[in-house]
Amino acid sequence: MFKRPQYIAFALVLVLVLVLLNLPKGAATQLKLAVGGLFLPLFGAGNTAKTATEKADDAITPRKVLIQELRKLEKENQKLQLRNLQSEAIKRENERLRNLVQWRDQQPWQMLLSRVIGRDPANWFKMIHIDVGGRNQVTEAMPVLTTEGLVGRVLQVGYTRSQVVMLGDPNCRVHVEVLSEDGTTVVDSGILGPNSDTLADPQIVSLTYLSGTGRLERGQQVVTSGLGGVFPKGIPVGSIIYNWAADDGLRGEAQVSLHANAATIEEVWVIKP
Amino acid sequence: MSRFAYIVILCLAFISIYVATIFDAPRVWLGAQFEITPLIIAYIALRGTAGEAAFASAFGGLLMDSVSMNPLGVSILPLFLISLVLQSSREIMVVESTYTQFIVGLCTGAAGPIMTIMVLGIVDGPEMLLGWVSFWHLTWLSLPCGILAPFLFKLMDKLNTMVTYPRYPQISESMVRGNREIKRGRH
Repeated sequence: MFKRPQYIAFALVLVLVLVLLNLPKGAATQLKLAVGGLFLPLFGAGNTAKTATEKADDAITPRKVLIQELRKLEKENQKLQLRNLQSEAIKRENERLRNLVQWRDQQPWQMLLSRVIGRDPANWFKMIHIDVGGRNQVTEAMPVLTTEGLVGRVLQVGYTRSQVVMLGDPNCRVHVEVLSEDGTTVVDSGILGPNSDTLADPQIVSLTYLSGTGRLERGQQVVTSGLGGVFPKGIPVGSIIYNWAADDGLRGEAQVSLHANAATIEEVWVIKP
Repeated sequence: MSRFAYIVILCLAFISIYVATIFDAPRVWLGAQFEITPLIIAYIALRGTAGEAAFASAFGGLLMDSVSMNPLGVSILPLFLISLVLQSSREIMVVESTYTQFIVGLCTGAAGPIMTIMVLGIVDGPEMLLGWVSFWHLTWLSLPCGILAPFLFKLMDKLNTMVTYPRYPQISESMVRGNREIKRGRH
């Protein structure tokens, strides 16, 4: 059936695959990043083209639209400044109370803005590439979010780019809390993971291992609990769509709609510790 | 296959993987991404030598894995197995037929992801996101490959003959004129 050159080629390919799959983890990661580095010029060219398109778009935007936008932003800025004043007062009070009970100070997040430059071409993973890496002091497991909510965590770090595994992928599970409607008390907590039944909609994920004692309702907010040490406490994740009791009747399960739209995000923030 | 065409086709595979990484419109509209790398490997298997197909499989597989969460090397074997099957049966296929090219594209588009999932299941890789919707993904992955195959094969054939002479003269209608027909009979 097969000829001699085909047997030789098969043997060589098999040896190569076995060697690659049995490389130590560190070496395999480095080799993967090195091979992926071949795409860097293309990613760079793509970024430049995108920036040029945005600049061209800015240049042709009418002055009237820009002035309207400017006035809107000025009003918004004033509102935010007022809210910031109130937050500062609350922050000072919080610090004073923390000092009274001798709790450790909370450090403000250090944020790093990055652009999404690509996605995993395989349909069985949810992963994005971002344009920051080791040279920006990004390390593995750093949380990644947008202004809407949590996106995922850094999986692999190259010198100039990183891979981020997103919520909904089986390799990114996070412990979360469900808040009451007024957002003051924790109703229940569980683990957010993938939902293979709703693969068609990347926005929907599963919330499992709920205690089932709390009363869950549609629209309740889901935030990170801080357990596990990877994700800081209180990052918005999504909202409850509906919930039910698990087959064994001991636990509850729910479906959660994520706030951050995985399909359309173009820029994300990396939280540095 | 000429060396020039082979290098250009490998570059095409490289660019196709990049495009699958940045162009996510199919994923937004239809929920799944497709890529033409298995199709390019199939073409090389049908027109080239075993060595060329093996190298292209290793090259394409490594590039695919480098932009994915797949462990490095997982995609090489499926691509090579596709090329091996096609190469061993190319003598009994009418490769020039559009229908054959469509079927080759369809089967290649489906076989690539299925075998990659199987290899990922065997090796100690990351957990995969699979469900009933994966069948839809599979259909979606194979159909555009089938539709694109005839166009891509013609493009790469043109590329292949661009700098070399064709292996045999093209037979046209005018070469088989009716008055040249030998009429056989009793006298």
